[in-house]
Amino acid sequence: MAEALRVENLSKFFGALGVVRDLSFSVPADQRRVVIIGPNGAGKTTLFNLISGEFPPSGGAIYLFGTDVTRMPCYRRTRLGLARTFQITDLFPYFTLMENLLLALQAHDPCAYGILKPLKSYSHLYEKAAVLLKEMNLWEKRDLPIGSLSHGETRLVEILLGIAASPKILLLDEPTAGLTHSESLWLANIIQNLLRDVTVIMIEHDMSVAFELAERMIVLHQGGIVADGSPEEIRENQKCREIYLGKSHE
Amino acid sequence: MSRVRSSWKSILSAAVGAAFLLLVPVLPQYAVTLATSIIIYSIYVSSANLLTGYTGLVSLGQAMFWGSAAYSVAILTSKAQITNFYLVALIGLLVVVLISAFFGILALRVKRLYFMIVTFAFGHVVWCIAMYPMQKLTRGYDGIKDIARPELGLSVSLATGVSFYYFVLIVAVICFSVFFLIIRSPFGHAIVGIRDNEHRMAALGYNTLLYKYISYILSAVFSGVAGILFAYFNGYVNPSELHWLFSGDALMMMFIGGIGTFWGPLWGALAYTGLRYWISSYTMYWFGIEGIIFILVVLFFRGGIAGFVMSVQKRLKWQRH
Repeated sequence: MAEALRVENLSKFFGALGVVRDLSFSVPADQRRVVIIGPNGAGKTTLFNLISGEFPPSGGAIYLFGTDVTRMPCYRRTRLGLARTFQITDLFPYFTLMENLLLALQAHDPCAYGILKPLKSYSHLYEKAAVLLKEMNLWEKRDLPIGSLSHGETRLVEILLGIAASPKILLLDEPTAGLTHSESLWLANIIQNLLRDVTVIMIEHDMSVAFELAERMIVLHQGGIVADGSPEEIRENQKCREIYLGKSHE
Repeated sequence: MSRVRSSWKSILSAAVGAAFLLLVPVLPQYAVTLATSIIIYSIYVSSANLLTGYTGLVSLGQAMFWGSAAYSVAILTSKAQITNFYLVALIGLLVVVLISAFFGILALRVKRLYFMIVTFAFGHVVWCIAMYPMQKLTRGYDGIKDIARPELGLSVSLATGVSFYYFVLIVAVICFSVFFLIIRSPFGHAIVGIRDNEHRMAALGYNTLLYKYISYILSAVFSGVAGILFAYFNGYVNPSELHWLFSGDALMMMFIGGIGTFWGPLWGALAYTGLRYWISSYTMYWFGIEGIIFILVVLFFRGGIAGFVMSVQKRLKWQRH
């Protein structure tokens, strides 16, 4: 089976601090739910930033569907089918919900550089947006500024922006950050239903959500992988328990 | 309610439009001159607004484009004796496109404050080149005089102030229409997205550098259009047209009028040029007063005149409810 993502000996240093160290793993294209867990400072978000191209790695290589993207700028990686969301909601505060979504939709549309025809005349974008918003029960709020939505709704909009371009790989950076437990489960349910055909790699702190969604889990600690396997294997892994609960001194 | 408001708005804009169209020609000569310069400045400020207000790139190099276009006109008409207006305008704009395409690649490598400093430096370099190595062509501090009004090849003559005023007005209407289209287009939507959150735009799949580059060149072209009009209007071009202080004037007018708004540049050019004319007739300390006005705007009217008008409109709407 072809690989959607391969990371080889990846490392990132900020000065002398190695945030990601010699990290290697691959995700087959038919794998749907990979959850990355690990304590704070394990290098999870930095790993995402390297994969999406926010900044270049200090060493190693990244392949998307067999293409070496290690030195490729962000926007070209999205052309290969990669999309991501952010841990801290990162939308366009002066735009309405609809305008936010349109930005995501037009990015990969032939009209992206259209300069003399109004955006409003591209009705297919509005239709796509309407489908997504209605599916998420956000249609009524389409003309509200993004700042007036609830936190849970903005987390959902984050995901909508990520999936607008119909990616093949979606990196979700803590989609449930700041949500209550019941809201997290609600969002996990949406992710499960909405993204059936997408390889989702997500960072998650809420363990019940993580175990509910994952078909594979990768545990990061101090910039390296300490465990990689099915949720059951991770649950039984002694090393993971130590990382999360501390060593027992019997 | 919105219908009432929009009809008010259209009446107001129709009145302003009619004033520019009908009233100006019957005014004394100095008023026609003032109105012409206001319209030319409003194109110039709009061009800066596209770059700064909409794309979020603060540039101190806008005068470089205005000045290069103005000098192109001056040199081509007075030295090369080219009388074909269309040819002169085309070459002028081509010069501006080449300069902006070159400097844009270099300047956009850096962001925010550094971008501003780099554009400032480029502007200064171009000014110095015009002043010293090219002195024979530009006549240094003396500038180039006696630029004749353009011949359009039509039966109308632009020799009088009023006819030239109408010519400028038509060009301005075209420019503002194009601005209007740009701002409402997908491209316009994207540059505002880049202004507000560039790294998210990159994550969404936008080649943000290319968008900024296109915006930079477009902005330069409109500055060039204004510069060409100015050279013909003033009949005289000197190095101050290239100087960074004049780039600062664009920012000043933009802030006073309302940064990032469509009509802001027109308001800004109107207020700034009008006040300068009026105050200069009483005192020689215009620059000091200009500074005070600028400080007041930044402290109390962040949105400039356009922002103030919008907030009044909002308040009226609230009262009607």
